[in-house]
Amino acid sequence: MKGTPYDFFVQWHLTERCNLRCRHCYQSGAVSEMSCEEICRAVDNVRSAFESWVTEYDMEMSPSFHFTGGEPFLRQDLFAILDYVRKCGFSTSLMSNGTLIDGDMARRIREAGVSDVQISLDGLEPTHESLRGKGSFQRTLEGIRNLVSQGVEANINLTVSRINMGQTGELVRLAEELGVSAIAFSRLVPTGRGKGLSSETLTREEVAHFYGELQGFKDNSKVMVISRDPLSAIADMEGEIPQTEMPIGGCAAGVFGITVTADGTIMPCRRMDLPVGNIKEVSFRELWVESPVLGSLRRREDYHGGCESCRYWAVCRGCRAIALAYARANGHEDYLGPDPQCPYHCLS
Amino acid sequence: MSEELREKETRLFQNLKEALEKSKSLGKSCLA
Repeated sequence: MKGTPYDFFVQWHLTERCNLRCRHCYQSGAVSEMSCEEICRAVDNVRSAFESWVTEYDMEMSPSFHFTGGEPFLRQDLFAILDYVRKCGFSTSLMSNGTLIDGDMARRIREAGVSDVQISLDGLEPTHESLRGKGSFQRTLEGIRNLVSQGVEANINLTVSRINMGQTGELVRLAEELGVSAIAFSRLVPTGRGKGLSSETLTREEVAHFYGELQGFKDNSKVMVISRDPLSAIADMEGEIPQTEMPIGGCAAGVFGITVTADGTIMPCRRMDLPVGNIKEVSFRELWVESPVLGSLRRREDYHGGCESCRYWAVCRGCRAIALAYARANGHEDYLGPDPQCPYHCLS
Repeated sequence: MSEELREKETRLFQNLKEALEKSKSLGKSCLA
């Protein structure tokens, strides 16, 4: 008998081209792009791994592909790619800045059977535009309205920093007015261009305050208020804390998610600039098992500085991208050290 | 796939299945 589904997501950056140039973006430069044919072959590579896991290990899988950029709507062949992936039987989602989604584009998204579109919104108008550029706020809102009016599920993702952490209430109300399904919050990772905003990242105390405040909105809003931050698993935790050899939640890197960049580079997470192979050159099935980086992300004993002895390890492990970004800022190539913003540091 | 790698894969999925049995899900994916 099969158990709980293995939710596995592939975050696929189809291009690094973008019509905006956000100050906090984790990307820092252009790379070559795979063609539509190369992408379809790479999807087959991943599909083959999933099929093997299902048939050989009796896994019940729930895989999904999340396409983004740069700005994914700059790819002229976006809908051909979405069509191929959907015909392979996978759920598809998009992650966008929303500014290129006019009424016709929203209709095409609906017709393509995309399950949801995640739109980045980083604050009220002056704040959003200080990060994403003049005129971007209203264009993003217009994109959201076009999706909602077409009946496409839209949700908002906000990158939290000191710049916008005081605007949660007004943003939740805006999300309610827009009719989105959810508003989600992720911490700023000081990597790529985001390194320039290192001084705006939250302290441990600010993280604790922010998630405490968010809990209130979760209980009292018409829209789903969520966090995709591994640390939020602790704030949300009720009942017994699972103690397992293998991680079962929290940071997806090496466990239940993978990133493919525009040129086919595979990374544990896009905000963790740590290439482990190229989807054009490797068997994804073999890479998932033999990569030393992916393997160490699954082993408690490889962690150090606090996480390894924390009782929440299996459901959290902090944000490995933030741990790596801070380590690199201090001259170390270390993705297994402590998440320096963790307010629950070393809860054993 | 080599025999060694297949054994490693088998152990990985055994551990994963045991973990999944103790949890309702792997939680929210941290897409961003």
